[in-house]
Amino acid sequence: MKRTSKQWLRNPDLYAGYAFIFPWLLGLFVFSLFPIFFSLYLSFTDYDILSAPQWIGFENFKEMFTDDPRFVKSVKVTLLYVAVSVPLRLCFALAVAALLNMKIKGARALRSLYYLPTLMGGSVAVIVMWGQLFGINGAFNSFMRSIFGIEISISWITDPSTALGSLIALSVWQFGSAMLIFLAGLKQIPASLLEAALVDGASAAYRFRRITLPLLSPVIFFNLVMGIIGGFKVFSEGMILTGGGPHDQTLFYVIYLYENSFRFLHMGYGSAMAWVLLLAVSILTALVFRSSSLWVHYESKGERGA
Amino acid sequence: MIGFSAGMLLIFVLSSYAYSLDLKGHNKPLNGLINEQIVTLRMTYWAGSQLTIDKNNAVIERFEKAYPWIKVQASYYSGDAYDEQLMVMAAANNLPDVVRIDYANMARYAKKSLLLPLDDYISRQVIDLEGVHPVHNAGAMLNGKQYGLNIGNNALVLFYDKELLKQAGVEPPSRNYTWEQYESDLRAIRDRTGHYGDTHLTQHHFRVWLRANAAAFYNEDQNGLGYWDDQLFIDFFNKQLSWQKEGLLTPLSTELETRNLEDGPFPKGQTAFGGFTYWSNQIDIVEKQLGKQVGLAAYPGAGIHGMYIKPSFFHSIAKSSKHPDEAALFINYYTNDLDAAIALNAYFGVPYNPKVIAGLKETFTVTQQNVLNYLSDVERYGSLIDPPDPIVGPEVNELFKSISNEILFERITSEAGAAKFRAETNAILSRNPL
Repeated sequence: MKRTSKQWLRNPDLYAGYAFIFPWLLGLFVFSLFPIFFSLYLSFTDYDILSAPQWIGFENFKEMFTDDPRFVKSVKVTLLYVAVSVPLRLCFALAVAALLNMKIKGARALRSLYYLPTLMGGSVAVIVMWGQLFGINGAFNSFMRSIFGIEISISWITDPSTALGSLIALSVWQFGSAMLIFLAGLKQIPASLLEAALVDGASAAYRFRRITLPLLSPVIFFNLVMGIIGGFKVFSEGMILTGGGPHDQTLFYVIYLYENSFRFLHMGYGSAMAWVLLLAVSILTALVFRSSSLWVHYESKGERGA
Repeated sequence: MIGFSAGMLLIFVLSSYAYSLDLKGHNKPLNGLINEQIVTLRMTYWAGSQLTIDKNNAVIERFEKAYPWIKVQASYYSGDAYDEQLMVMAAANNLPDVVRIDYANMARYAKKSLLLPLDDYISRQVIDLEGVHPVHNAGAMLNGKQYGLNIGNNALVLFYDKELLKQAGVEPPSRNYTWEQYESDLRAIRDRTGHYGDTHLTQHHFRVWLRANAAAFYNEDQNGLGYWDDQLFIDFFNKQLSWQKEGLLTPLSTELETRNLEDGPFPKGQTAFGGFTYWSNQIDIVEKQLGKQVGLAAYPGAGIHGMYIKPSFFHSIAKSSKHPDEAALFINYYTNDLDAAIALNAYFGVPYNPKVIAGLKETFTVTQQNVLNYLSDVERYGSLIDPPDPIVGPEVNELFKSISNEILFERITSEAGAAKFRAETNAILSRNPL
């Protein structure tokens, strides 16, 4: 029997379900959806937080793309950061995962140890520690002086030519979660395939390139997408260590967004920047997804296969 | 069926909770009667060091003893976060009863009618300004109404390490300290003690220098820079470039890594002069860190108009406050009560109420006497403080810092920096008409 909509509405399970998820729904509407759409509205306004927003149409977006050198600079810095740090971190994570996948003594303990930096990596404490390590009187410079007798009188964090590099290094160092996912992926690769290749006389490099990499490609794809999204959102590292300086060498997109919103009181402009970021990351992620058919190998291809 | 009844139960629980909240609301007057005596005030303040927190708590403790029915809950934020936090609180209509506001932001808050005019309390002498010169509170005056009460007076200062200067055979800076003298002193310190002379100059130095040259940072209408000759900017940076090359100044990187007031090269004993952006009230932090008494002098090149007196902070009452009367008692206590002044030891600037000063005279420490002498020098030989920056001030400050670093890291010349600063400042000022 076909249910009418009225009968459907009378189903008590419906209300029970909504009643149960009510607290979560409330959170979603009040703390997520409302601010999201409010910021969309604000992006078309001039809003200084203290007075009411004034509708200015597309002025914010126009200014961003035609009349704001610091915006351009922040885009450049962020793109460079993502382009360098994401592939580097993936390579590093994969290399460590491959090492830990070997049957060596204490691999389990090592796995936990290598994951530790990631557990702490997002925290402010580690970022501050990075500053202590690579500051002008930091551990790294002292190490170079006492072991190699090399006198380094620059701060890796605040010198304009190394500032971005040291933040990229910090990001590469937080390779743990990518590594863990790689490790799980490596475990999934059937040993029989690798053994068969070994019997056929394939070298280790050949086996890695022809068996491991293709079978691992879905995992690489996942890590790449997550890395790109995370990379564009980079904020606390720069905010705490460099504050976007020296002379905007580490002015990440989100730092500039924050500066505009809270320091310069252009909340409307900041909101517009946030939406541009969302669009840009979405488009980029979509492109990566489109490209995936070219290089990602799924075991169960289904009808998508050529 | 079970699902349904469980759901109904949840709704029932939630709604009865809401109902009980409602009931609580109705009960309020009753509760209020019982607790009538206890009023809790919220306050916010800026803290750049643990000492600031301790000093503020000390005053609150004394206040609560003197007014047992008032409790004060104070929260602090440091660095730029303070202004941002205040702004967010204002936007959410959640300003604390007592707000500590800097001179630069006073007008903005008053204009948006977020603050309560204090005139009524002043005329009723709840806030006692009898015998106080109006100049001390002029910065919180808008359209003839008083919106804040100055905590104490400050001035920019060049601290100096007396022992290091003596060791280098350098005379302590006198009135009318010139750039030439400063430069040769830096060199003498470097040569004879091996210490750095000073840190790099800051935007404050630049502003003071402009003032000394009968110019200003912003023009009168605040729609452009207040100096016509870029040579002033160029000289200011060329001087530093040559000192930097000679190794007279601490490496810029060290300065950029400085986080707290305690961290700076001067409090750490690395330099003989402490320019940085120290204000006279920060002498306690510096002396505590160095473990000895330091000297105070005007900036080099400050001439006769360069230096100025600035209110350290204003206390204001939020318009949204439910306890304005108690808040008025508190801010009056903070500024005008001898007990509070003794606890503060001029930590938030030197008191200006003649009654407080008279009372303090006996308990003044050497340090305080030095600060007081320095401030009266500034009062006598300096000139009035500039009007508060335009709303886009923070943007221009950020730009100045950025270009300053670009020049000092030798990425662009001073000439190019001067032109860039002028062009971009004008762009910012015109993009955001006030």
